[in-house]
This record gives sequence, C-alpha cells and structure tokens, in this order.
Amino acid sequence: MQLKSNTMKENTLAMMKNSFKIFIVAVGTFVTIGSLSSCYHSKRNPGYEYAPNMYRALAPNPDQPTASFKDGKAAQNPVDGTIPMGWTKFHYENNLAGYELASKELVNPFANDTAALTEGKNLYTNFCTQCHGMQGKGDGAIVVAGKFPPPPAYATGVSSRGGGMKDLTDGKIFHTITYGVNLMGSHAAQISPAERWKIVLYVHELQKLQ
Amino acid sequence: MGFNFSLTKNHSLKAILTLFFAIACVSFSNAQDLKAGESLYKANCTSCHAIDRKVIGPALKDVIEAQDEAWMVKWIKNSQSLVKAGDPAAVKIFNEYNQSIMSSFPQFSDDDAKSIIAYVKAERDKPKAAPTDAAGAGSGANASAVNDYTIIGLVILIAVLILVVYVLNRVINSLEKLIRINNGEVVDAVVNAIKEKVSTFKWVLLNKKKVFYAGMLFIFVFSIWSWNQMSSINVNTGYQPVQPIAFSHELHAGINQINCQYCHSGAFKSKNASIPSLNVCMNCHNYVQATEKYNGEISPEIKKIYTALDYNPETRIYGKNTKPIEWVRIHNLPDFAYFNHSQHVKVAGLACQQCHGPVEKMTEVYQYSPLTMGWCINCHRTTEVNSKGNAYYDKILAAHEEIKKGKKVTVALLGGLECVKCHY
Repeated sequence: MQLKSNTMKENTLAMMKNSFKIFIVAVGTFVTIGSLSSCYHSKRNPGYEYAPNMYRALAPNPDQPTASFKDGKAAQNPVDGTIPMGWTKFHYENNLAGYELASKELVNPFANDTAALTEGKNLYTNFCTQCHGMQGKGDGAIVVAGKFPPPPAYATGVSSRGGGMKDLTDGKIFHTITYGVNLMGSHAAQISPAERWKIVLYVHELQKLQ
Repeated sequence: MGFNFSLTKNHSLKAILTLFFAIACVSFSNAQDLKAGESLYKANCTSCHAIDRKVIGPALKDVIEAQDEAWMVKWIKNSQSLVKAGDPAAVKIFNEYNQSIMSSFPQFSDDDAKSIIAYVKAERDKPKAAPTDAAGAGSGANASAVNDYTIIGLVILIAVLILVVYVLNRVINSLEKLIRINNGEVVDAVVNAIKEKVSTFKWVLLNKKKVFYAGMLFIFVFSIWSWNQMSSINVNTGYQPVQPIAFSHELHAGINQINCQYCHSGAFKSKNASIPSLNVCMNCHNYVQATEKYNGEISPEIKKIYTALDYNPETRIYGKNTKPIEWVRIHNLPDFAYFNHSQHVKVAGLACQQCHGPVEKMTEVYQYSPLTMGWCINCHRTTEVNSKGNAYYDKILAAHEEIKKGKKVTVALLGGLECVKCHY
C-alpha cells in the first residue's frame, strides 16, 4: 500500500516535471519569436532595412535633422531678402497706408479668362473655403462647426478697414492674402503671387453673388 | 418684497401680481436682450474679440470693467470719432493696439450696442466650470517614453517569470530525489534515465520516415516564415511612429474638413507634398486653443506650437528663441526611386487617399500603402492617360497620327531637337 502510493506520487511528480519542461520550451519559443518579430514589426518601428546606402539619400532630407549645420536643421532659412524664383517682391507695407496704396496701384496681371478662373477656383477651394465657404459667404466648415469666428461675406459683409466687402479692389484682396488681417493669418508662405492673383480673380466673381 | 407687508390683503395680492408681472417682463426683455446681443456679438465682434482673452482687440471683460456703458456705446458705433475727439481713454486704447482701427458699426442702434454689452456682462459673470483632474492632458507628450518603459517592464517581467519557473523546477527535482532516496531507488533512477535516453535515440533510428517528414515539415514552415520576413525588408506598411505633437488628422481633415492641400500646400506644385511650417498652424491656432477641453488652460498639444515658436499667447508676441518640431517621417521612398507629387495630384488628378489611405479617419497617421515597385507598377499598368489639354502629350499623339498614316516618325518629332536632350 505504502509502495503503491509512493509510485503514484512519483508518477504525478514526473508528469509535473514534463509539463514544466514543455512549459519552459513553449515560453522560450514564444519569447524568442515575440522579441524577434515584435521589435522589428511593431507599428512603432519601420522594420528591417537592407542596403541602406541605396535607400538613404546622401543629400540631407529637408524635413529631417542633419549634422552638417550647427543648429541641426537641414532646412536652413534663406538669406534675408531672398525672393523665390517666379515670385515678385511685394513692396507695400503691412498697415492701413500700404493697404490703401496697394489698392490704388496694383492691377491683376491675369485676364479674366476661363483657364485662370478655373485655377483660381481650385486654389480658392483649397486655401480659402475652410473659413470663407464655397461661395464666400463666411460659412466654411470650421465656422459652421462654431470653432472659428465667421469672416465677413464677400457680397454682403462690411470690411473692418472700411467700405463693403463687395467693393474690395484687386490690390486690397492681394494685400490681405499676403499679410492677413485681424484673425486671418498671412498666406504668403503657402500661395505664390501668381496663385494669389488667380484667387483674386475668383473672389471678384464671388463678390457679385447676392 | 418687504413693502407689501403693511398693505391690506387685497392690495397685497394686487401688488404681488403686479410685481410678478413686472419681473416677468424684465426677465423676458433681458432674455431678449441677451439673445439679440449674442447673435450680434457672434456676427460682428468675434473676428477680433473674445470675452476673457486678448485676440486682435482687448479682452472684453476688462473693457466693460474699465468703461461705462455710454462710452462703450459711442465706441462701438464709431471708435474713430472718439479717438479724433481726443477722448483720453479712447486714444490710450488706440495707441496700445498699434493704432489698428476697429470697424465702426453705424448701423447699430444704441439698444443694439447695449444688448451686446449686456451679453458680454452675462457671459463674464457665468460661473466657470469646476476644475477637474486633467491627468489625460500630458499623456500624449510622454507616449514614446511610456512605450519604452512598457517594453523594458515586459522583458523584466518575463525574465522574472522564467526564473520562478526554473526555481520551482529545481525544487520539484530535489523533492523527487528525496522521495527516491527514501525508497532506496536512487540507483534505479539513474539507470532508468540512461535507458530513457537510449530508447529516444533508438526511436529515431527505428522511425526514420517520421523523422524525415517532420524535418520536411519544419523546413517548409521555416521557409514560408523566412520568405515573409525577407519580403517585409524595406517595406514599412503600417508604420505608425509617435509624433512630437499628437496631431490628429481625423480632427483636422475629417471632422473640421480642412482641405489636405491647405497644409500640404506643395502637393500640387512640387515634388514634395511638404510638411506645413508652424505659421500655417498659427493661421488657426492663434485663435483656436481648445481651452474648453482643458479647464480654461490652453491645450498642451497646442502649447507645443507656441513653445516651438516662442510665442506668448497672452501678449500675442513672437520671441526669437524658436525651435523646430521634429516630426517623424513615415512615407520614405528609397533614394533610387524618383517620385513627384505634383505629377500625381495635378496632372493625374488623384485623390490623396488613393495612396495615403483614409487619412481623414486616422487619429495617428500610419503608412497605408507598401510603396513597393510592384505597387507603383500595378497602378501604372491600369491607369489611363488623360492627354486632353496637356501639351506634354501633344507630340506623342501627333507621332501616333503620323504612324497611322504610314509616315516616318523622326527623332525631331519626339523632341529630339530640344537643347536639353544633349546639353543637360
């Protein structure tokens, strides 16, 4: 009786030992595979790279850091007063006098033809509609959502710098896109002068809406 | 209502009724005032003013504190006439705000202006929401650090678990030995162990077929696994790094419906779609500060923009101590492949989503397409060229017409006389 119970004990222990072995092997495999695959294929890691000298450009990537400059920025500011190719310098100052002067002197270099107007409409859709709305009524998506105050409507609104929005001239609209006014920021960095003039064309169309 | 007490019952009832009526009237007209004031305020004032903070003009709660109503009404209707008349308070404010002129509102009646003031006062006096724990605020900032710690923690945890398993195993072994010694079976146990090993070896020799098939199966599975591993080299689909600012495309492009190209303004005219510089962020975030979500504090994520620009939201002045935001690049083509965004966006007229996936639903952007050569080519195989109104294709189409007519197609016809064909 004593002997039998002892062998039984032994058997159970042996079984336990076996299951422990299996357990250890399983855990080991899991950990190895897991660490191998998870480290390299987690969404936070771009994964294995082969032949990086073929993949990475020698020239610094403009939006990534570089050791070539003291401040570590690949995109250095151009020298003061630099004018990008195809751009013209805007000589009017960012104040009321400059605004009025631009209004007097500037004329849209683009004729009001279909090509320029279509392009103006596309640019307007991309850069202006979020606040000014598709028809320039000051009802863009973020205004309707109540997240941003409404700009005055082109056809019916009153300009904060005097007069009705429908009477804004070429120069005034161009000046406003370039420098911004009130809560509208400067859009000179995003929109080239030629593109601004095409937008001016289209805004004139929206001023006629009633 | 103490004055009612001395009156007779009849009178007092009348008086109470009158009083009630009067209060009702006043509160009704007040409500009307506030409502009219609110709609006037929202339509005319908000593009330059906020009640509790400086925007383009001063915070209105301070102004109504400092000035009386009559002055305010005059100022609202025509601020310049007050300045020109030399009113000291008016001149002071005018100069304080860089002499920027506030729009005059001659169309407002005195009551209009008063209702706006009433609305501003009511808004000022509204109790502020009770501050609650804003623990979630900083979580985005430390996301990457937390991530590293979790991984290290997990590794330590697994190591500890293995150690525990090992120690337990040792304990069981020695217990087992103890039982065997007690039973006088030590020698037997050793012999049995050797026998066991020999029998395993024998089993392998006797079951060569099984071993062979098992080996084949292993090689097969391992090959598939390694093939998959290797084909994912340099392919980063699903890559979703933690960005320095928890910028949500779902909020900006999805809910707010801001056009992709408003910020990525290079996409239609340049090789690079361009990461917007912070001045583009500031076009909205000089006003939008999401204070309502952070108990009146500026959102910590928006604050990162201000810190990077050294911008003081109180004074609205930019400092000189600027620092770039180091966004982590997700989509990265190898140096040997040329890709031009404008060719695809403007000429082909593709939607951004065709390659970048449903960005307007991504709170955190990940790489949607594999960006492999096969992926590019599969699209180029099926996409039809829209040659209409595109001068680039004129010569090619002309050449095909010539071929159809059975005429010779010269190199010159295909642009062989262009200077840069040889002199580049």
